[in-house]
Amino acid sequence: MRQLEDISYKHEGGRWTLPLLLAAFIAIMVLAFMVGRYPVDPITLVKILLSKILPIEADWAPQAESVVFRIRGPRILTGALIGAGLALAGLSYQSVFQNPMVSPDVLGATSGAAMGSALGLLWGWSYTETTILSFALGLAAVGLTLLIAHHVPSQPVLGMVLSGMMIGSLMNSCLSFVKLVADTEDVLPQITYYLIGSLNSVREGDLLACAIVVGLCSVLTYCLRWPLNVLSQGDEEAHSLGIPVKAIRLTSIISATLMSAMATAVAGTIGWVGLVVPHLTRMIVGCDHRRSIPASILIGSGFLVFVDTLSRSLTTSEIPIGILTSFIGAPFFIYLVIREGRRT
Amino acid sequence: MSLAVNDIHFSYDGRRPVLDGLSFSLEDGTFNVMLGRNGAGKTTLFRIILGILKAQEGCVSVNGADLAGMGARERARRIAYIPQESHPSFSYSVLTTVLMGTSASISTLASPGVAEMKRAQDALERFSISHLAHRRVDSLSGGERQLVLCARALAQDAPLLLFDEPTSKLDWANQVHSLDNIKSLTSDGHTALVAMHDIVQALNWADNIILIKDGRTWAEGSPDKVADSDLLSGFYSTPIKVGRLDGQYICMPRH
Repeated sequence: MRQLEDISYKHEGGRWTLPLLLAAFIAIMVLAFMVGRYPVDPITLVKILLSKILPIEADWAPQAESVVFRIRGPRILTGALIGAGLALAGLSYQSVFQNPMVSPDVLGATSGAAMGSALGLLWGWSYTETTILSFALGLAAVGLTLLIAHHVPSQPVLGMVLSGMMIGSLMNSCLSFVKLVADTEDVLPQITYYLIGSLNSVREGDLLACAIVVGLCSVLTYCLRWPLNVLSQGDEEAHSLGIPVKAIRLTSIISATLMSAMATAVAGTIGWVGLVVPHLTRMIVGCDHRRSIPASILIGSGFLVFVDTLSRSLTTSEIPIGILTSFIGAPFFIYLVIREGRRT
Repeated sequence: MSLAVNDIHFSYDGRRPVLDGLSFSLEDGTFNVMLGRNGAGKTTLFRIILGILKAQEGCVSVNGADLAGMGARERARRIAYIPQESHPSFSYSVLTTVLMGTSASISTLASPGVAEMKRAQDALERFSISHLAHRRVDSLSGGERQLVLCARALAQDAPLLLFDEPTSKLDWANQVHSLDNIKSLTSDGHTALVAMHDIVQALNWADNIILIKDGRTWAEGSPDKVADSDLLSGFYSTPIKVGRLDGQYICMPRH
């Protein structure tokens, strides 16, 4: 027994992989708090953070505390949650659709949320109202996809993917129409900037909303770690092994949709994270969801926080994060595809 | 565990029946082979037994309990399915794949524990593939994969085993090993229902043979009863001669 467990860990990437990923994530978080137009040295950063729980005398500039808690804090933590949510949504979608090429937009959640934000901007709604509309339309798009797929009972996966493509395409057409009628001086640039994806406008309320949605959905997805493993054997085999296939698939889809719609509502369309991170995760810790779920959360959040740190520190004017995730994600994905192709 | 298939009717399009009153029953601890031409309804019957399809008429029962009212978990505790081959989208280790066989005995939200690991280990040892535990399933040969699927079914701890053409993709030596494995499982008390096409293998390994034609049981019985040239010629609509060589059945086309 002991021997088999050890072999299993060895095959899946080693028992120290997850602690090392956690250490890397913490290092990136510390770096993100330190780097920026107003640099904060590590000792001061630790003191500022500890001052909230320990009686430490404030020997730092008040601006440093404001930068850590008010400016960078919400942005970095929200970025970490969005990265975790997108990565986990991608992993879930790929597992339930038994296809490693699936991204979080497969059922139209991202397109629906983007359409919602564009509408909110067009109608001049407040930031909170726009975010809520975006989230709601993201969920509505997936709801519509599932409703259509319900009429294709013999090919459930194919039905969902094709319906998702159709709804996504429909939402993109609606988005084009909104852009067409938007005021070119004011609203259109806002929509365009939003669609690129950025954490620039993140607020404290977003942090709370993301923490609730991503937190709950992560716990739910982790609870389904074993059925998700079995589901990869195919619907018929999973069913014969005692897995309630429809219920597991629907629960995972709802959870992944909530996370990807929330991410898009808050930060716009940030591409590649939900596609590349699950691949990278499987490369490091293997396919087993008992390890790939926590690993994808750590890698996704660390990756997005790292890229966001680059986006706000590389140049004097901030580069929208969606551009950088594409610059990094696309070549990396090509590398992964070539690597896998050579191996098989 | 005995299985009874009672007057099953099924059609995919509502017009052409695939199963048209199929009935048979299996006894405990027996090796049963289902023979039939392509499209005879063998796979459809398996899907009905597994609860993937619903029969329009008739019922399948295990030890007198109707399978129609059972959920996937309850059914999986009674019936294990060994597909012809398995091509999962993501490749797991052999150990994890065999552990999947224990899914029906744990809660949906749990993952296998020590007891399940022991069952998986025993199943690997039973088929002498413990040395493959750390290998990825997609790196194995066809014969080894078949053993992994058998070990997964054994870990499932279900008394009834359904095999879908277990020998069709294997070389000759692995076909013999595979059939010997099934035979040894039935000696341990499992009941096996095997869908296959090779008459010679069926006659030499099975305890009971079910011939399915036009969606019905065309004939059923022991190899000695089924090993009849006229019966099999009529069944396949092709002249067949059945003979014996050193006590083993042989079959050949009769020209």
